[in-house]
Amino acid sequence: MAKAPPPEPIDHHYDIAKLTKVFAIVSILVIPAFGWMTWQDYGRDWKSWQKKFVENDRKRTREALRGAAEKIDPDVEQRYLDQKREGARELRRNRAAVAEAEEGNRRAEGAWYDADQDFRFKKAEMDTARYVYETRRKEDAKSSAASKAKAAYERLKAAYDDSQVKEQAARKAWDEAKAAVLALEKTKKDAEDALSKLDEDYDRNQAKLRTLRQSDAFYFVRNAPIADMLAPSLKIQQVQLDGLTNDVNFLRSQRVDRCVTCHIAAEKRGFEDKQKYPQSVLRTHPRLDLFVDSNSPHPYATFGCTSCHGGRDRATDFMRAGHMPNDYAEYERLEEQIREGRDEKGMPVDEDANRELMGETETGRWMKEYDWEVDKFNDLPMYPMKAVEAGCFRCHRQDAGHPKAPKLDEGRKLVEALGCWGCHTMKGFESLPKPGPNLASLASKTTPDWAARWLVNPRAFRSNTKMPRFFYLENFGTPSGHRLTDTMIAGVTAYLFEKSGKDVYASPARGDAARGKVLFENVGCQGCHISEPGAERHVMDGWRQHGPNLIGLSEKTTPGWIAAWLKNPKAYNPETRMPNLRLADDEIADLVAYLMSRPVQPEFKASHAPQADPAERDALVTDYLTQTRTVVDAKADLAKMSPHEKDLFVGEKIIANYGCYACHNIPGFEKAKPIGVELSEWGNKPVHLLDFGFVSVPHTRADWLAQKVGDPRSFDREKVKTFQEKLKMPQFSLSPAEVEAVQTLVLGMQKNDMSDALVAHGAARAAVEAGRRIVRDYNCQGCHILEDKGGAIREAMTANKIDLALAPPIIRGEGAKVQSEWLFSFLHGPRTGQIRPWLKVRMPTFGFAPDQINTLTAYFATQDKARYPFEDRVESLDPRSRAAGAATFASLKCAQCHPTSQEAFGQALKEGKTPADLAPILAAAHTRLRYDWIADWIKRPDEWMPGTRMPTNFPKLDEKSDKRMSPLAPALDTPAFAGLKKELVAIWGSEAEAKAYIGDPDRVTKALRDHVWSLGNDFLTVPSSPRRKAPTQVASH
Amino acid sequence: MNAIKNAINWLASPAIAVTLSMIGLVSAMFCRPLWTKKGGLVLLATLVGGFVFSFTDPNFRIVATTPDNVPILGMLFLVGFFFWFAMYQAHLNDARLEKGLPPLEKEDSDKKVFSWPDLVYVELVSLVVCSIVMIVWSIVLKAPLEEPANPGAAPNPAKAPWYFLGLQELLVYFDPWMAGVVLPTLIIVGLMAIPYIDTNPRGNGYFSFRERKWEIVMFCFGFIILWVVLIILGTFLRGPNWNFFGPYEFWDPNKLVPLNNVSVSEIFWVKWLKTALPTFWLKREIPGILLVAVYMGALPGLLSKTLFRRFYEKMGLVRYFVGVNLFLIMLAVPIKMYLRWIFNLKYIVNIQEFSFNI
Repeated sequence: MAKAPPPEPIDHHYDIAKLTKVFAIVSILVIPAFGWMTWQDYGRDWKSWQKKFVENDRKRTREALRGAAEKIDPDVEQRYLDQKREGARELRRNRAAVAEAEEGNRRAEGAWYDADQDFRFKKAEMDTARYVYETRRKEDAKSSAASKAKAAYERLKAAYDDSQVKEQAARKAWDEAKAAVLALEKTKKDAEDALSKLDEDYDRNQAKLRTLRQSDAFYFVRNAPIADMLAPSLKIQQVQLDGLTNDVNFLRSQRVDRCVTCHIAAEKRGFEDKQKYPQSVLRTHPRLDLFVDSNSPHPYATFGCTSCHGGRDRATDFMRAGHMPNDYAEYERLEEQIREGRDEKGMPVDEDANRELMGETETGRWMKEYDWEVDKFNDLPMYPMKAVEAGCFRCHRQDAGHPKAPKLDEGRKLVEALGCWGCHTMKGFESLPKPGPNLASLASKTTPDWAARWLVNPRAFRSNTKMPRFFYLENFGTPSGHRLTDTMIAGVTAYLFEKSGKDVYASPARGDAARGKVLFENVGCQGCHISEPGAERHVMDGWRQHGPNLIGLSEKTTPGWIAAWLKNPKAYNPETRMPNLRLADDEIADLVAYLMSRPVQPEFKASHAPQADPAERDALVTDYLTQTRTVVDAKADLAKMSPHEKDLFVGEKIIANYGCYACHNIPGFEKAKPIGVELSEWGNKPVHLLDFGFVSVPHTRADWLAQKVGDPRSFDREKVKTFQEKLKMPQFSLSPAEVEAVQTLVLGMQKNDMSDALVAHGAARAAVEAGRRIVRDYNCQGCHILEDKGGAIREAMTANKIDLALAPPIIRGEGAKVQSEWLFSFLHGPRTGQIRPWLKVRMPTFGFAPDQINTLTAYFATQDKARYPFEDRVESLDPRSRAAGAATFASLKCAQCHPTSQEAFGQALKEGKTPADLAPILAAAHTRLRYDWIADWIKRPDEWMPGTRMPTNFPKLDEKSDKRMSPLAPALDTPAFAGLKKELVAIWGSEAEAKAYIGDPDRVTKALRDHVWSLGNDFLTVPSSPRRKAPTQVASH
Repeated sequence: MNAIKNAINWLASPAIAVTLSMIGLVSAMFCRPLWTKKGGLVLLATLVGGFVFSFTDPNFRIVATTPDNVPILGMLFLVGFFFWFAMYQAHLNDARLEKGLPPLEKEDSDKKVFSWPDLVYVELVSLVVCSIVMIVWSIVLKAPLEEPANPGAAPNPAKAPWYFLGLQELLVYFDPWMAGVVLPTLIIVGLMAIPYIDTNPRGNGYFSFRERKWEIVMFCFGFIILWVVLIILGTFLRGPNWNFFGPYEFWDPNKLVPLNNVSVSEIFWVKWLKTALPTFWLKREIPGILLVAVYMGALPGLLSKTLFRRFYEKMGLVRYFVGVNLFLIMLAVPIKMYLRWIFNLKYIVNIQEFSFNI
């Protein structure tokens, strides 16, 4: 081993002493480097949030503890404490017996333990022997090995059986020993049980408080680096979401939401208070009724957070999670101002003031507190909170509306009403009626001059129109752009009138505008139309703007056309949603006179129809011609065209260019494809595919969209483009709130990657949504209050000082109330004067297709969970119940409001009763109402329709109960009801029976129902007849 | 200031940058004062000064401080340092050799040292220092992780790892099979062949420039110009759509540059003979094929009689032809680049029928 020392003297290449010093220095340096690394790895933001939450939770629990302590009755507690002490004393007195019993208990337990172990071992041995026996038998049942195995198995089976008996005996002995001990400790034990019950709340909070310690050594050790692999108190909280995936290109990975790692209070009640918990991350989710809570429709364990909010599911870092501030665009705008040195108006800006404003924005705060920046690698960041309802749309796309997501709902209504879906295909919006009028017979309705002036600026004619402005926008802002636009408008007008049908309508008789006004205000026009120059457009809750604002008609059309239109709107436009109000000719004449007298907006009066510029027209025609032929040929063709031909040519190309046919029916464009980009999955469109041009907005999807919708041509700024390359989207003049609403909707148009099980659907839901669709398309809520919304006509009636008793009925519980058959025939051909003849307002004839009516009847019935489509037939009634009902009906004077026949109604009017005094005629109740519903209605009209004029005859026993009482029972003995009493006694046979009847609200209401059912009902007298008689014809209003 | 930046932007365009660095490199190698300690300091000061100046420019800052690009900046200094160091040592030795002294390395080579502590201790210290550097680096510059790769949304620009950016730059001038397969293979083969081609024992084990001027210049040309300079170009000067951007230019993804390139066949038939391209590919591409054949086939023989006669005599037939072929292929790279820059030449041989383009 030992070697000779080296022959040379030791001569080092390096200075070893110096090297040692270097080594010492770097070794010291490496320690903080490791420390820094550990701190980086362990010092996560989410840990500090969890710590802060525990702090909050501790405060809250301490308060709860104090509250619980106050609730404990000290006297009761003292009593149990005394009992406990007494029990302890008792035990001390019987010390010897207790010791003996305990010793016996211990021994018995030991014996049982031994027997139990033996029993289980025996079972294992037996199972093994059985397996061996089975195997041997399978190989060869007759072999000696098999019989040996069988013998072994049987031996062990016997031993097992024996051990089981022993175990059971041992257990019994132990139970007895335990009971003996318990008997001695009874007093103390009872007191302890009672105490723990009394202090339950207090103890629970105290136990919780113990788990919330975070300052002791144990807490520190369990969360220390490396040691935290065992049982840390601070840990990532996550939920695995079945059926929800992330698309990671080529494969899908399961979504695992870790949001509650920081948002730890989201699912816990009790942290709602904004004052107490100013940081939203430590607050309870604000809508536990809809989300997160396990009883809500979207429980956290199923939906997690990111399926609605968007963002990166696994991230536990603020920026990486994809948080998006509300005001990023505002922040960037301020910064741009600083860069430019002036604001948008060219005024110089103060940098410090702007910096301060920037710091106050959400974006600025996030940048400061969380180093936030746009994560350009995150394809699907969260929706900013202002557009958070976008998340609903992924699953609720098929719904007709979104009442619980108002902003999304508004976005949807805007997209539907303004016709965005016409140019931009969007899944879920395909089958809507075209939003613009049919232009197939435009020439029958108006003049080229009007049409051209309208195209110049639709809002000049009608301030609230839904028609957007296409022309004279910023990317045609130059003088030559103006001339080009003039030419386009002249061309479009020429084309439309060339292709249009040209019917001539005779003018109606001279009507009276004053009478027309009364009719306009009473017959129901105002459910869908206003007539106010300068009105603002309302799409959300804009029922009264469903149809056009009826102003300026004298400029636009002729009395003859209006008369023909009112007479039968479908004759002019078979697809129109304008219903027929069944107006008489003189009524029409009056209405026409009134409508023609409505004012014209002054702006429009001052406008002129633009004239085509020949040079620009030639340029346009050449431009289009050269798409299909050479420049030389195009010039030759151009030379052959007359100016009118050129106009027509330009018109056709411009209509195709701007896609006018998306909203209007235009001859020659029946099969044309929409011109816009499909938006069905726009919410997934990568940001880098969006052209931001030279416009300075943040490069996010939301900001691009807001800019595009608010200022559609702005991305053409500074660009040099040919006519056909220029942006085409028209100006919709949306308010900032409307822009946000559209933004919310379109951001929500994403790939639906939710599993089917999670998407809201089902036959009942589909039936209701289909019905709501028709309700929306035909504006039912313009007149009726339906699903607690609408009845917009009431607003006009109030303004016109018309009694609201004359308003169209509120529709509530309609499905449960009326028979689907009746509803079908009513919607098919409503007749006025059947139920409420005093109403001046008319249910119009919509001309629904049978499928639409079926959808509506199914909608009403499904919504109220009523039987659909057919009801049980009631062809015979209990005669006694019916007679009792008749008597009660008479004595309660129901007929005072409810005429029982058309004749009775006439009589009532003669007596000077006003509509406000009257209620529906009951003559045809049996053909209209559901049998069961009538009784229920009489019993609790206040619940069916709060605020109804129908008196609640059977009040609730008290606020909380559902039971109702009959006030008639005590009244029966009063002289006022002597007649009724006599009759009832006659019907029921005894006073006791009569009182039993009158005291039971169910029986009384059912009897009343039977009576109502029999009114005007002659089949009941011929019980054998299976068919119900057709309702009697009543002359229409 | 802007004028300076614009000038530098212009100078940095590939044709000028490559030309300048070629001329600069060769002339610098012969400029003795640079390869002293003072010269090194001047070089360092120039480099650092250039960076300090450049960092005042926001566009430069964005590109230079991207976490992926920081190591390449480091590489720039390292390559510079080692190049200077080698040349410095070489010139010291050259001076000694002139005086008839042995090279410096000779003085040391007879001494012996212990593995402990002379070797292992230093290694240990290096290990600790490297650990510190790596830890601090990884904390300060976070790993630039992105979303899972998506074939539907390739990043723009899509860049190879930094050490391959030189090859990626070649893709601008060559077909992928050439730039991605043939040339890298030849680089490896050529490097392996060096000891067999260059059998000159002088300069073994010590630095010397004087004794192997031609070989060193040739190697430095291949490594510094065709590898390092192209990496720098690819990293810092190639932006969105692989467009060229000056160091102080904003990487505008919408920047448009015309790419109007023509092939030899088009020049020959259409521009010179004023006729349509022949339909048969062999006839069409005959001019290009001839050019390549002359370059690769006739040139070595011609050179052996003229310029490279000394090499031919010294190396013998096989060694000479292998060596000169490798040299010509290496030279073909800048030749093709220049043809593109000057004549917008797309391909010399353009046989699209079977994707064979040179």
